[in-house]
Amino acid sequence: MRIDKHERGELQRQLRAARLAVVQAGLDAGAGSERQSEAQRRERQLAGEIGRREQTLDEETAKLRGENAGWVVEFETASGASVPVPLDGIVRAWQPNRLSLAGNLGVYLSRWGEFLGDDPREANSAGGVFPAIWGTVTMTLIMAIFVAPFGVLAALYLREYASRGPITTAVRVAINNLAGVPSIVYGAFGLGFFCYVVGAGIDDVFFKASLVADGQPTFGTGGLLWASLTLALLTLPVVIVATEEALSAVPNSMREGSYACGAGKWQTIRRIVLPRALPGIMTGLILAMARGAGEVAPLMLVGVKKLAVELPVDGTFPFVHPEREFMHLAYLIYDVGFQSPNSQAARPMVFTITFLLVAIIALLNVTAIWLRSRLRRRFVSQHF
Amino acid sequence: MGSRASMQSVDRVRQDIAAEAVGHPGEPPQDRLIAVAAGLEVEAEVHEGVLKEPPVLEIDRFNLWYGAKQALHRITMPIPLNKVTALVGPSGCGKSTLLRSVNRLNDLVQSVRITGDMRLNGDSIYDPRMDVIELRKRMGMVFQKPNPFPMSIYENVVYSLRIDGETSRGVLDEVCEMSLRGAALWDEVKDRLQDSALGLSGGQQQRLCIARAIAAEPEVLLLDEPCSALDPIATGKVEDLIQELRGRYSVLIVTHNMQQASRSSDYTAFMYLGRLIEYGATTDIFTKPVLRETEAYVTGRFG
Repeated sequence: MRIDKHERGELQRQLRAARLAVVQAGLDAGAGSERQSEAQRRERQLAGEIGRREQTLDEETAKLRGENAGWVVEFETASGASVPVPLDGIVRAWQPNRLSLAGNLGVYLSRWGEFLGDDPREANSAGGVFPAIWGTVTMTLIMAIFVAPFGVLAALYLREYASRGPITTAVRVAINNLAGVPSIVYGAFGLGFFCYVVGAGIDDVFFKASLVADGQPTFGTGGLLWASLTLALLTLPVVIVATEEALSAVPNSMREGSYACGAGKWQTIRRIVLPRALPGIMTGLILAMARGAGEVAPLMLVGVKKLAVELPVDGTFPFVHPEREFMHLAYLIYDVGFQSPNSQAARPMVFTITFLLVAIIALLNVTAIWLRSRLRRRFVSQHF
Repeated sequence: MGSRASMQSVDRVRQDIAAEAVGHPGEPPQDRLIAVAAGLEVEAEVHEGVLKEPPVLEIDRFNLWYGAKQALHRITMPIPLNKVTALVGPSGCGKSTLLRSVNRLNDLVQSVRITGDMRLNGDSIYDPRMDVIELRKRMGMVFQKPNPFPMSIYENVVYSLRIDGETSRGVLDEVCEMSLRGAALWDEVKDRLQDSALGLSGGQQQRLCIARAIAAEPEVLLLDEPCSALDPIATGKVEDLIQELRGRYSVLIVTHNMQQASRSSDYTAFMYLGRLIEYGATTDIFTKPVLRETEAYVTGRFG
């Protein structure tokens, strides 16, 4: 397993890098140029080397497999029949009837540890869901990073700067309508705009080699970044409406007090209005995050995959790969529960994943309530 | 139909009353308040004494409209330097509007239109080249309801210095103590300057707002019914404070409370429906007003 995943993957990566170097040289210096032939020579050399390495790896794996196959555990059932089980089919072994309470607890906790910390096995129906947790949390955070400044600035402009008129009204109506647009429409928009327009543009400029070499787009397909941006768009109306409410709840007397002290408009907003509106803004943002974290439909179009064990952050240069596809808890429920070849066996997984997702969203909402009450105590007077 | 006819007849009756009240051309009007209500021009009765004082603020033929409705009609009055001037009059007579026009807070209301001018120590307030921010820094204002900012007591007091970019701890500390002493609040809060200002009582909050207003050494202090949301004890403290500020600051105070005006002001202006009716030394206005309308109002017989 380890050999398969890491060493072979590393070899493949090296080979691909060499191939890309050839194409890049061709693109940069023209086909048949000295640079390209130099790169080609290096690629051929590397390919030979890697072929040899792979052969040794193959042999090693075959040997290990052979060794494994030699080991079989024979169990005797209560009725006296003997059942052979190959050793490599056993993931964990314990004797439930002989366990003390502490032992039971240990097994229970280690199963939770496996569930939360490991990669999935057996077509997602067993093992852990760590990549999905990671994907959900990271996507939600990136979404929040994008949606917070945009939403707050838009609401600030609408509430504090824009003069009341037909255009502002039209913008408000549009925002309220956006909040009611079905989320799959956002998914289609994200795919069409972010992946096929913005992503393809980035590929054209920076990742042409990969596109030419094997027709594989880098940013031109679904990925973590595009999914986050799509969800940011989806939750933008929530944040704008919540922020506007919070801003309009700031008493005018405070604004006037600040102006009367000789403060400018921005000073008043930054020092008086925003701190005072902060509880409402935070609440809106966290509710938006809770909504975004549970969304599936748009994500299916812009980058969530059934299995994507390679996290968008890892040890290979440049360490952060926002273009990579990722896993998501909500999608995993759909996939494991309804698309799995063995949905009976996967049923406990579905329940546990669902529980986990609901728990995460409930946690976000509780945080919102706690934060709001805490900030309110700090910024809102008890008198009058 | 019927209601329209009756409206017309009411109008006619009103005109008749107005004509009778104003009297014959060339003679002084009989009842100015009715004449004002009918929309007729009435000359303000400004006492000699007011005009002799050196003014800090001159209001010059000032008109103000909210949309189509005129709220102030040709107000002309000088505000004497280092004296307390009270604006009295029934609700809706434009006292607060006039006060808010002095530091151009009415600019924030979209439908406001003005003509005429005001001059602060000779500088035109409504000059298009006048920097409103700089102008407001030369005045302090205290509002009807205490409006401390959601920050510590200390930060509240030094707010106007902070927005000017003052960061020297020494300067800020000194201004904070001076202002709080000036607002007679220092002894009550000196041990908890870093606590939230929202934890103070209503009266303390209002004195904090006064401390905030005097922190920037204003040329004029504008008080908009500063005691209307306070209990009698807190009111007493704020009034004592106004007594102490007298002579050091030029104060313009709007009040509904006749006793307060008579106790704490040097000059009193009586306004009615957006017009200045009578303006003179407080003792004269309350004991021997020129107009019987003023007398009726200050003695509580109307309004």
